[in-house]
Amino acid sequence: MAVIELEDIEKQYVVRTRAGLFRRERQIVQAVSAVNLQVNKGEMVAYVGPNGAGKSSTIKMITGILQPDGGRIQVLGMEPMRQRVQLTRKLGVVFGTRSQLWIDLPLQDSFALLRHLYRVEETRFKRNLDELVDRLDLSTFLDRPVRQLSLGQRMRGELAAAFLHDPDLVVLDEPTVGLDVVAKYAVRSFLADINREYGTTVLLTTHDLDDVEQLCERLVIIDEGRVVLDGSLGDFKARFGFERIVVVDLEAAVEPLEIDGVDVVERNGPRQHLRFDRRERSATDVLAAVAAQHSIRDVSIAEPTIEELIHRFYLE
Amino acid sequence: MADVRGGLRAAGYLAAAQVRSDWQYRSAFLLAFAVQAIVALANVVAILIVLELTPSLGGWSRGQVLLAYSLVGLTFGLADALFSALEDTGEMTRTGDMDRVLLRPVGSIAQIVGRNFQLRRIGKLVPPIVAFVWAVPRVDIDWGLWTVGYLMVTVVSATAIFAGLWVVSGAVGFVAVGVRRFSHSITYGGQQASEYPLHLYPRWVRLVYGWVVPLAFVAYLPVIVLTAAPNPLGIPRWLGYCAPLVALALCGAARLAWGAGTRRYQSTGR
Ligand SMILES: Nc1ncnc2c1ncn2[C@@H]1O[C@H](COP(=O)(O)OP(=O)(O)OP(=O)(O)O)[C@@H](O)[C@H]1O
Ligand SMILES: [Mg+2]
Repeated sequence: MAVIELEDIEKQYVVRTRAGLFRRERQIVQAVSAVNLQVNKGEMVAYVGPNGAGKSSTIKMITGILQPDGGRIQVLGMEPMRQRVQLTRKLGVVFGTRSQLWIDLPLQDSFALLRHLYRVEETRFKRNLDELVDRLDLSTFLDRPVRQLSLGQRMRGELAAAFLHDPDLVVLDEPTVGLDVVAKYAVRSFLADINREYGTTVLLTTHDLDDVEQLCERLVIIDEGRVVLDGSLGDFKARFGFERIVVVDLEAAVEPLEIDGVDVVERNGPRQHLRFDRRERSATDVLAAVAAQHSIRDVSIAEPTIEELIHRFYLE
Repeated sequence: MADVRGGLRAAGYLAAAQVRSDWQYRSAFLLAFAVQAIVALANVVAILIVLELTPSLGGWSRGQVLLAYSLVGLTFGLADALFSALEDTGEMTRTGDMDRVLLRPVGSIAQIVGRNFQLRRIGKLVPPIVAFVWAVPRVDIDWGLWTVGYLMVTVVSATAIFAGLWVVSGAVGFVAVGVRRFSHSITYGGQQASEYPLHLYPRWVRLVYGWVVPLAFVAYLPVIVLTAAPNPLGIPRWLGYCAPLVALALCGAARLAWGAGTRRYQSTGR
């Protein structure tokens, strides 16, 4: 069953820019162009793209905050803007850069308020809250005002808030932004567990590709408002993950090395970054060629990060 | 109907949360409270002076003038206490706080009203109540079931008319962010314009604040119907019975305007 269905979705913003003292110019920003996306029940999908690609705009249309300017949109079988109240009852939303909690109230008061807004019955609420407190380890700061929480603590609170009412779909816009490794790990394992145990559908945006690697089977890449790739991370890597980078530290700073089938992508004093295609040459092969010209002090082999791969993908 | 009740309940919880949040900053909260008490007291003094000084105006007796004044003050005060939080729509649009409101399964008006609720606005009701108590024995009303009923329907309709104006002016905030002043000219401007008998004003004011913004139905026509006050403009008396219809129409239009505003909401780039 399709939980999210977007067909040729469009979104434009009207921006007024200053063009002189009194004159203001109207400009249309095309944020989302003809986006098609179908997410099925139980899927966990990463929605990735560079800054300004249109990720948040898409999410705001899915969650009923923004009205699309064209196309067809169905979420949990409903039309988000028109059936906002019904839809949001089954929706959990986290915005990494904007709190959904009451900043001056203790965390548990926010939860109690949300219980009323979502009309979660008392026993179910208690059960869910206990479980969330346990999974997200909230017990030590439940009674502290949200404004006093660290970013990592707050984000765990935000996650709990999004799951209190047993949502069928959870949408997260950069849930790991600004978190340290430990907090990121906590967020990821929580999402993975919930998705596995309850089959909750999850759509998340991120700039941290470890999130994608560790959480999502499916990757949707958007750039300049258009979906440019929709597939599995495995496919993506098979297609673009054949590059290797060898970093060599030589005895001295020398001219860029000249070796067949190898590009010097970065040079930093005696350190050079050599890029090659692992289908054509092996690393030992490349190193032998380097050693034939200069003496080598140290070597490391780097697999390009998915971020670099996607970046190159954008450039093509 | 369940919808309305749910909205009311949610607004109640949000308002309570707001008060608790304010209470986090105790001294500011108490100071604001003290200031409000002083303002309310000053208002009572002011209204006592007004009662002393009010002349008869344009053929209306002091009692009639003050009855109209108190009806406007009472109904505007009620609508203001409950709905004036909607003037924050523009600010919430600018900061993107409206996102949060739209993400929750409760009507957006109920949430904004609850979230921005301020108990102190009730203080505005004190002067009109004093004026009402003063005016009633000084006008010639044939008290009975019918007049009491008419007065009650008038108060409810007039409150709904002012509430509708707040909703309309809030809806504008979704689109044009810096319109607080314009909105105020409808709401507060309307209140001030309708404190005096309509026939004292030049034609264009009567047109704007009597009929376009339909405030003739709030106090002017009811006082004519209730106390047989002079009607130099020759307005048909049956219009004095149309307040509920006008209120319904205005609230319907306000609802549509609110929906249209929501659909044009652009959020922020963050
Ligand atoms: N409320 C708005 N008003 C005007 N323009 C906007 C608004 N929101 C977004 N935009 C513009 O629309 C485009 C897409 O923005 P969006 O926020 O959807 O990108 P994003 O993929 O979420 O980026 P990021 O990774 O930086 O969060 C950008 O060019 C942005 O400037
Ligand atoms: Mg974004």
